[in-house]
Amino acid sequence: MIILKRLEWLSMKVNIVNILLQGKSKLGLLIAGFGILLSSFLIASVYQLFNDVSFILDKSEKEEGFQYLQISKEVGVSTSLGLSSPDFSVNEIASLRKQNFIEDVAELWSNDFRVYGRFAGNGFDMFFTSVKPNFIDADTDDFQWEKGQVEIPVIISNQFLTLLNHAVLPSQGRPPIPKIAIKQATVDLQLTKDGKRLSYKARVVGFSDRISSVLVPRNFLDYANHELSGNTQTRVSMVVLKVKDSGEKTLRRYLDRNDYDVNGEQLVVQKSKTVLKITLGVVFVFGFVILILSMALSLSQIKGLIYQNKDRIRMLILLGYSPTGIIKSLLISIAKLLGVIILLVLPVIWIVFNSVHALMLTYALGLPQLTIGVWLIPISISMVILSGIFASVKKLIK
Amino acid sequence: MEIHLKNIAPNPLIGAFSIVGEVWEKEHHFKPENYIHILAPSGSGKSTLMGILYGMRNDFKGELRLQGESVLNLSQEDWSKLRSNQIGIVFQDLQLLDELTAIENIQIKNQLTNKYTQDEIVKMAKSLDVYGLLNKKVALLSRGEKQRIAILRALCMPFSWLLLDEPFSALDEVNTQKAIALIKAVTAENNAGLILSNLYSDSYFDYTKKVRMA
Repeated sequence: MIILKRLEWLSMKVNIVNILLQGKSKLGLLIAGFGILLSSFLIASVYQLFNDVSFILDKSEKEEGFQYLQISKEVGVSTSLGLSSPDFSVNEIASLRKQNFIEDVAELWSNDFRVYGRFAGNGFDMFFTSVKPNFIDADTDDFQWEKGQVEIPVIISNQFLTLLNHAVLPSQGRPPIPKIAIKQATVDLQLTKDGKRLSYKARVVGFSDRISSVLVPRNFLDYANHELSGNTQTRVSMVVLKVKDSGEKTLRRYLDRNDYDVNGEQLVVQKSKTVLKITLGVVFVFGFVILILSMALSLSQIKGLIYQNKDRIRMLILLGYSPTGIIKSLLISIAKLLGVIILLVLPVIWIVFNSVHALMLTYALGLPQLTIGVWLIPISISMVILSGIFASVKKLIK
Repeated sequence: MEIHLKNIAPNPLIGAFSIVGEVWEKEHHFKPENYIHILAPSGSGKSTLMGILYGMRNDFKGELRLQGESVLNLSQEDWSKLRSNQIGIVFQDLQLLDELTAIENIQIKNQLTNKYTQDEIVKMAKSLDVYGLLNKKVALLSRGEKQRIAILRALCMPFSWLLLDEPFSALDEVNTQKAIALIKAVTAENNAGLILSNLYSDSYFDYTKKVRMA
C-alpha cells in the first residue's frame, strides 16, 4: 500500500497565490521590495532627523515661539578713528523698535569703568552689561542689589562656563567646575576709573543661553557708572532683538544695511539650520523618488506576473474561485510581504535613532522623542502600495 | 435546478446554414435529476453548448435560464457560486494544471467546499485505479490517467448538474465502466442530473432525453 505523504488534508490547502504568481524570475519583485524598504527608512529617518534638528537648534532660542538676536555695531575704521560711535544711539534704537519684523528691543547697557576680577587664582578683565528683566532667560529671584550691598549678583553666559571648563581650566591642568560650585563661589572685583576704586564680590546666581555677557542689576550698573565715571547716561553697546524668525530676509537686509553685526554663533546656527534643512530636503526627495520607482516597479512586476498567469487565473475562475476571492488572496500575500518590510524597518529605525539620541544625550543636546510619524510612515507607505495594487489587480482580473 | 434553453444559437452560427439539429434555436427544459445525452458530430458545437451552460460563453442569442433566472442577470461572483456549488464539469480539454500533482489538482476543487475527506477521495481514486498516481505531476500522466483525474476533480463538489464533455474519450472499456459507476453513485448521492455530450450514441446512463445537435 502506497502511503501518500502529502495527503494531510487539514494542512494541505493548495495555495492559489503560488499558482497565480508562477513566474520565471521574482528578482524584479525583490528589487521593488528592497526599494520600498529603503525609501520607507529614508523618509521616516528624514522626518525624525528634522524633528531632532528643530529640537536642538530651536531649543534655547525658540521659547514662546520667538528668537533672540544679540547685535552690535560693526567696528570699522571710522569707529577706530572716533568718527562714529560703537554704541547705539537713542535714534538708532527707536528705529529698531519701529521695524515690524522686530517684536521687541532690549538695550544692553554697559560699564564705563574697568572691571578686574580674581577667581580660582586667576585674574582677568571683564565687563558688565545690564538688560531689562523680561529678556533674561534665567531665574531672577536672587538677581537684586541694594546700595551698600558688597555682593553683586551676576548672571553669566553658558558659553563662558563652557570656555572656562573646556579651555581655560584644562590648559592649567585643573578640573572643571560644575555650575553648583560656581554658584557657591565668589569673584573678587575691583572696579576702577580715573584713580577711583570700588571693591565688590560677585556671585553667580544664574546662567543664560540667550545673552553672551556678564549681567548685573541695572541699578548697580548705573550706580557704579555714576560713582566711577560721573556718567548718568549709561551707554548701550549692544542690543538684543526679539524676533519671530532670525533668518527672515527683511531682517537680514535691514541689519546688513545698517552695518549691525549679529552674534556669530547665532548666525552660524541659522546657516547650519538652513543647510541641514536643505540637505534633509534633498534626502527626502531622493527617498520619495525611490519610493515612486519602487511602487511603479512592484506594480509592473505584479501585472507582468498576472499576465503571464492569466490562463491559470482563468482556470481557477472556471473551477469556481471568485475573482474577488482571488484578488483577496493575492492582496493578503502582498500585505504579508509589506508587513515583513514594516517589521524590518521599524526595529532598524528604533535602534538607529535610539543610538543617535543616546549620543545627543552624551553631548548634552537633550533627548528628543521618536515621533509617532516615524512609525506611521512605513505603515502609510504600505497602505498606499496595497491600494494601488488592489486597484490594478482588480482591473486586470475583471 | 431546472435548465431552460429557448432558441439559443451561438453568434458565430447565426445566419449560417449549419444551424440544424435539435438543440440550436429550439426550446428545452432539463428538469432536475434528468440525464441528458447530447449526440453531436465533431464541429457541431457541443463544447460551445457546454460553454454556454457553464457560463464560459455569452456570445449567443436566445435565452438561457437557470432555475428561472436569466443568465444575463448573473455576475462573475454569481457564476463562481454556481460553479462551486451547483454545476460541475469535465472539460473536453480537461483543464488540469500540469505543474501540480494529481492530488493537488483535485484538492484545488475540493477545498472550495471541503466536500470530501481524505479517506473518501482515496476511496474514489482507488475505484478509478488512480490511487498510485495521486502524487505524480499531471504533466507526467497519460491522457487516460488525466481524464480520470479530471472526472474525480469534477465530482469533488456538491452539484445539481454535472456537465460531461466527451468524458471517456481516452478511456478503455474497463476504465470507462469504472468511471460510469462512480459518476452514477455520486450523481445519485447529490440527487443531480447530468448532461453528457458525445460524438456517438451511447448507453452509458439511463438517459431521460437524447438530443442530436446535427
